[in-house]
Amino acid sequence: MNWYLFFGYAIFWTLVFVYLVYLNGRQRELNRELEELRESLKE
Amino acid sequence: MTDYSPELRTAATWLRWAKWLQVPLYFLVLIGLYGAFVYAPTERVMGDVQRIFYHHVAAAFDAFLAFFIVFVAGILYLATRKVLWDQLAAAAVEVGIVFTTIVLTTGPVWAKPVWNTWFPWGDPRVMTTLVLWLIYVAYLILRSSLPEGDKKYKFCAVFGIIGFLDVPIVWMSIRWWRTIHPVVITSSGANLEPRMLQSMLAAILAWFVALFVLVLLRGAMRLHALAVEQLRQEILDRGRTAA
Repeated sequence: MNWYLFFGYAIFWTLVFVYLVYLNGRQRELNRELEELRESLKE
Repeated sequence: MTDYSPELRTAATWLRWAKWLQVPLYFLVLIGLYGAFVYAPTERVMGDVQRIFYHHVAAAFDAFLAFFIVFVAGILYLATRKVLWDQLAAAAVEVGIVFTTIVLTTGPVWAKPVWNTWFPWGDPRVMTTLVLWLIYVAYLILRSSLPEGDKKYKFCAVFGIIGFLDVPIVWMSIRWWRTIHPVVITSSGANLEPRMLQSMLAAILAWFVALFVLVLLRGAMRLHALAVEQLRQEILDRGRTAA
């Protein structure tokens, strides 16, 4: 096992994964804001 | 008051394209990984660690393409004043920074066993790439500090266009100055064994598709966020009028 190769790809995929988690978080936040707006429109 | 419905229709189209592109994306990424780990032969001098090269280079090409999208979208915003081009540029900057970060972090892991240093300070390719990363991080910081509106979008478009000037400098740095980076792609072709070249092209294609998926998704999210903000403002205004 070449550890440098392992860490190189581990860093690559971790960064991609972190960005996807960030995008997911932003999408959730957006959905929550939209829900709040819907509620305030009902009132 | 801005009517965001055309932008929302564009966001729906972008989401549809991103959804369709996801189908070939998974296969292409698998092919790219197969190429890097199985198909490509082991490099004689560097050994297995050279396999970082395929996806490291693909990430660099992705970053260049992302910043080219910023450049084109900036010009299109200045020409048309359509907010969707600004949002596409901002999405491409974010994704471009992710890929530049990948380049700047996978590079040292490869450099340590091969060049015996984690980070060759002073190497023109490394330094110009670091400058590229800093330019677009500055773009995002400045962007977040400015109030929404045409003035901000114009400023960001010009910043993105000027920032792109560093991309050809990064590309040419290994040809213009003395560097330890190898010149793989020359005017007469690629200095690579055929299977290595095919593996590199497979990785580049896979990450190009990934780039488009991410930019389209992030761009659509940004357009939705703008529409939500506008709706919130309308509700607040109505509340004030009623009071």
